[in-house]
Amino acid sequence: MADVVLKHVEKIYPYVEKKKRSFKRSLKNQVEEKAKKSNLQLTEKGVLAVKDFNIEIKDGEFIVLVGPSGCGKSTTLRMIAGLEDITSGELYIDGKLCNAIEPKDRDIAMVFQSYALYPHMTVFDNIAYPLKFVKYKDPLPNKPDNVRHLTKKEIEKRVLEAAKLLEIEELLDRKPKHLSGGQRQRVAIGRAIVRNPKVLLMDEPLSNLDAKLRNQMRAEIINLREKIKTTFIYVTHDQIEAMTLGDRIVVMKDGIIQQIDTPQDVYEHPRNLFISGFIGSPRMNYFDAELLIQAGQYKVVLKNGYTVVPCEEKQARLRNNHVKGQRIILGVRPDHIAIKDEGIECKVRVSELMGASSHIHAEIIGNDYTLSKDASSNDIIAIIQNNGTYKNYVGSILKFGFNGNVVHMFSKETENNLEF
Amino acid sequence: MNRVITDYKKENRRAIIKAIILRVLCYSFLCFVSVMCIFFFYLLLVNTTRANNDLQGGRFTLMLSRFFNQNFKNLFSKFKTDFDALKGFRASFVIAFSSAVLTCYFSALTAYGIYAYDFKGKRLMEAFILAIMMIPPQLSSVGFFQMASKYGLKNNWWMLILPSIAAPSIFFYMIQYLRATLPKDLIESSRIDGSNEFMTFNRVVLPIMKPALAVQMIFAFVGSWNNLYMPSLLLSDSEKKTLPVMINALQRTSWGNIDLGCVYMAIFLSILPVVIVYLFLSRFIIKGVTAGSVKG
Amino acid sequence: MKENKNKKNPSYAKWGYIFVASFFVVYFLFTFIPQVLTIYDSFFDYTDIVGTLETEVSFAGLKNYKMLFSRNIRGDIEILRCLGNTIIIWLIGVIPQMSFGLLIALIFTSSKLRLKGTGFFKTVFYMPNLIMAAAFASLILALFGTIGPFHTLFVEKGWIAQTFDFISDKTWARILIAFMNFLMWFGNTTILLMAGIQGIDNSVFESAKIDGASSVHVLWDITLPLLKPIAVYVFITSMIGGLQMFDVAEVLTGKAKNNSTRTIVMLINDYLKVGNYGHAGAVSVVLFIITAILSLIIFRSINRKGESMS
Repeated sequence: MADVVLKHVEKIYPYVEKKKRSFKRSLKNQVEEKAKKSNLQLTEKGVLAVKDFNIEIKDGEFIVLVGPSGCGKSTTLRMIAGLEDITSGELYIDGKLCNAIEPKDRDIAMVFQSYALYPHMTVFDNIAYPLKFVKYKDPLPNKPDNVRHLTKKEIEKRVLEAAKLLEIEELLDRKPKHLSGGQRQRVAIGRAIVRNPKVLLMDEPLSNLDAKLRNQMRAEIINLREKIKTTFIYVTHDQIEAMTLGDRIVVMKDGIIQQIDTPQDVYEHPRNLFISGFIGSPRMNYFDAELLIQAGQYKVVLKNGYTVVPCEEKQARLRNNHVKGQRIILGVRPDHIAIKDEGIECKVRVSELMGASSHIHAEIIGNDYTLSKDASSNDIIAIIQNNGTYKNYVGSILKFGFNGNVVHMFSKETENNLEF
Repeated sequence: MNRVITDYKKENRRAIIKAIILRVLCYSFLCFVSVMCIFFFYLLLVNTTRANNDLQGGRFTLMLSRFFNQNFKNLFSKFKTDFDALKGFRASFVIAFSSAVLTCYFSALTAYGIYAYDFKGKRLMEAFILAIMMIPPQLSSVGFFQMASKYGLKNNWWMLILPSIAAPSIFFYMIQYLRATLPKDLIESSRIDGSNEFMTFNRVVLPIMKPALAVQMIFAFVGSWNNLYMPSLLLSDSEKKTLPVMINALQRTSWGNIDLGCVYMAIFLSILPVVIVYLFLSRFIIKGVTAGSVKG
Repeated sequence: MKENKNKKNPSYAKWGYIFVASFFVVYFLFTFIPQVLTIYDSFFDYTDIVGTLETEVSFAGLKNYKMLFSRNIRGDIEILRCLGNTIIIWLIGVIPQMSFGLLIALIFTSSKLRLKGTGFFKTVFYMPNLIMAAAFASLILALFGTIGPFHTLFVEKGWIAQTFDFISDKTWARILIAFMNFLMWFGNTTILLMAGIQGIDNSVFESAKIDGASSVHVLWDITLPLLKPIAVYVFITSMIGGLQMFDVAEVLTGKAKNNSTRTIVMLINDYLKVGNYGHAGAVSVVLFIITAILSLIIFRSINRKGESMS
């Protein structure tokens, strides 16, 4: 295992001048159009896919790069792997500068989204393939620098070890086309770990599996992590995977890192509006509100006058940042909204029984307190614990409220969390 | 850290040099092959510009001369008895064009019939058509020629045009194309709109098949234009011969006595139409080679 | 519901028959009946009426076939000689055809090289495929014949004797025909093999890169094995096409009566021209049998092709 450091890493896809024969607009215009749809930045040199990526990944850490499609997470992973050139910046693996080093010399392994198994080889040969190229230091008395390849027996031993770890020993003679999705994935993982790589890269490995299998494999990856001591860098668009698997997660959007923190921190203290909406399911509720300073204390006031006073920690942070009174977008997670005696009056439209809890979708009565235009629907979403009794809330008029320790205040202009 | 960086720089330089050498080698090889392809046709062009006397001497030259117009004129006047270019072009064009149109239309028609309708024996018919693709044309050519001779149908262009209506390989291409691009609801909705079956085929389905039709028409035209075997058997009347037959006949005369400039000009003009069409549509044609034949 | 179903299909089913009728009528008239006739002819003796106006022929059973496979005046078995010529010429042509095709396909699809201008080269390489074979052969005949520029050039340089004739030389005629076949078909092979390579999931190559395979290893362990099905398909279709070799050989060497370049179809052609339908039919039947066997091999390999591609 090894640590991985990225310093100011950037990836620019340059414009390519097309031949004059094209009747369409020049490629540059086409690229610009495409980029506009995805909010990627355009520089004079080309489309900026990854901007100023900085991270220090410790030995043995499990890092998850998460974000919506096109945010640059796969591109970053491929740069670490060596499959894409790094336009600028530095990549260090185990202290060595690796920008110009071939993938095979970086001592890394990668599991692809499509598994990329060799279709014409058996499972055994698939897993054994990387071992063909391993150079093993075997000092001899008269040749201290002697290097050799692994013997057939050694290869067999290692393949069987990996197969046992992943419980695919019975599959060793089969070809990929005779395997199920989950089995293929295990073979892909087996091929990746058999070389004991310093860094294990995984590019959305669970995306091609059905939901049930995905949950199962998620648990197995956590299991795997216990058994194999190596640094993991994992890419996914699924925030649940990110939250459950990662030691730290890197939230990305449009090529820019939004936040690097533990899952807990990202959940409890999202740095901006995007992160707050991306992480956590169901989505956070957003309200238009005003942040006032009254008698030295910050207060959050919704349109109808419903007021919440942020807790002391938050007050301290706001004071530290010299936050002035301003219009804000107030974010409150569904699990933090409770039925109270006084609060925002709503009529319940949908009540989903999820088992231990119910997900309530309620429409605010009166249009005084409008939800922010960033809200995905016209409803407040609340998660109410059932506590053993199931109550169907549909149609009832309830009052919802929340405390000062769960409010997230985002600047209306910058969309940044005002606490940070 | 510094030493490490310079090592990589040196390796980088070596790698870059290796890469450049490799690129140069590849480009040279590709250019060499290109020259191989074009060389003989360049010589053809050169020789169409040379006078007969020069050519009879057998001199080898890569330089263009001045007799192109002369040879061109002679081909259509003095050389007519050996090679009637106008008649040849007419014959080749009529046969090739008609075959191409008929084969594409009827292959599409047949493919649509199998694709759009459910009837007894449908699967058997499709399998049958696919199976007969594997029979070499020579098996029928003997009987075909014998029939033509017996019923006085030699020197009849229709004998070369009509058989193209039943073309298994083009049927196969069309039905694959239909399966990939024509939703059956379209046929349903066309019926509901009041269209009868033929109208649906001609007005709705054919336009959708335009790319497939275009590609196959080109290949069918070229195939027929270049075809020598059956035309040489059937066409003996000099009024009816196609270009390949006439070119084949040229080699039978003694070349010391004829105008070689006209010979080269005849060859040149015979291949020119296809080359011109190809140069305009090359990307389209090359794409058509794989679309439908190789499935990954 | 059941009524609707019956209402829809039968009333339109008849259109299916109408639409496919043209194919089957034409096929029956112009292909099927002639095929039957060919086979029928092969059992009759036409040699007696060759050159006469007679139309009565006597039943010959397998006599034609026996004659075909017995030695003629020169001591050869003509059909075997022609078959041998055909296969040898095809072989001389197919080896460079597949090698160049493969090499160029690899160069064009190499992510390492990333060559520009592949479109131009593709256009040039495919062009010979569309050139009229008769015209091409006629051109080569003119260029390499005894009064041709190449002949004069080589005699000047002292490479060949004045009396040497490429066209009637046993070996060189074959080489010329094979060379023309190669030029006409390697472009097609390139395009098909390229499609095969591009059909391989790109992440397989990336995975090999990370696993440590060098370019040579990737080629040998991954690209070539996965190309095998397509290569086999191209090879066998080339063989089937090769058996039908006619245009080039006929135009180049038809006059020269060069025995080393007479192909099977030229043999059929010769019999047809004199009206010997019996022998023509017999040779056609033999050709058909060989082709059918090869087609079956392709058919089986296609069914197995789906297995290698995951």
